[in-house]
Amino acid sequence: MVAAPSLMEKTWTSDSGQFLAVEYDDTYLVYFKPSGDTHFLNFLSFGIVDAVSKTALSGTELHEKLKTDFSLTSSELPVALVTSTIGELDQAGLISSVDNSK
Amino acid sequence: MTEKPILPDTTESEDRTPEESRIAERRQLLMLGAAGLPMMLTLKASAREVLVSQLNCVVNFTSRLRILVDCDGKAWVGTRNIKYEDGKGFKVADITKFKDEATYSFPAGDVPNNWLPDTCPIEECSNDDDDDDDYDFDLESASTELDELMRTSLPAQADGIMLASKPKGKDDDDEDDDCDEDWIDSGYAFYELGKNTTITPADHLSGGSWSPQNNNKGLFITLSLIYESRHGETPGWPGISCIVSIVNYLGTQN
Repeated sequence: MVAAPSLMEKTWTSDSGQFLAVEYDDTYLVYFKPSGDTHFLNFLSFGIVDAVSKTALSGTELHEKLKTDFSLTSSELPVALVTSTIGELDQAGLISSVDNSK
Repeated sequence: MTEKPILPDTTESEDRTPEESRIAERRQLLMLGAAGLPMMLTLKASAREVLVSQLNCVVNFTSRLRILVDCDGKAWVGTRNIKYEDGKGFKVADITKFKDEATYSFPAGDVPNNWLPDTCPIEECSNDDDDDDDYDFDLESASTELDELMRTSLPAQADGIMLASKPKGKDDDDEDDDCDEDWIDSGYAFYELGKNTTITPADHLSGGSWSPQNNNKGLFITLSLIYESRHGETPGWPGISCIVSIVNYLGTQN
């Protein structure tokens, strides 16, 4: 039996054509067309959406990229926080796992 | 006992560059995130619901609104009453005052047929009793009927023929009230929306476009749309912001 990949192991992507985003002071108002919902994202959650909309990335790759992009250390950006944020974005539909479509 | 601060000390923030301040703020935010603060929030009311809520607005009248419409499709909107009596019609003086003191007026052709008066005078009332045209006598027809009269001896038939050819001059029409200077029984329709009347403009939509109901409220909606098309959201017309919000909503759907 093979264990399902964790959120950090999965590869994530996002279709930027499905949402509209406007920035207000490091906060992003994102209207997601398929659901009709509007979300407030901070720099981290929007950073994830923005990153995977350009290139599909695994959770681990994403963590590294975010640390680099935002000049953060691993202690400042814990893996657990990235994992939980990925889960929230996945639930909202703003990002989706490539693995799910296989 | 001093309480331990939750957030890092930021007293030195005045010495930071904007970029350094931003990074510091982000670090604080991440600390809150690690403590359980969500990194994203979803609005309870979705954007779709916000849009549709524009359709839910209502117009409430805090005082009576009355609308006078004439046969040309002109309309006057005000608050004065116009006295009406059966058999006489509307009091002319009241109509004049209503027009003079109307808050809004709409030019000819603005009011659709649905709300035009049931009866419209064919011609304006004239005091010129000497006008030959007022005496409507068909000489050719009368001559033929006179010939017929000469050929019969039955009085009943003669009466019938005479009645049929009776000229319709104004001098003979004692029942005609059209020229009553104080009252007028045709040419106007008068509508009233009472105090505390509530109108839901969306009730006058059908299939995503306006379809005003054939009643007093429908007339108000019709005039509201005309006002909106000419003045936009300019304050003054009752409930104009509600109308505008729906017009804008419909615009997003097309």
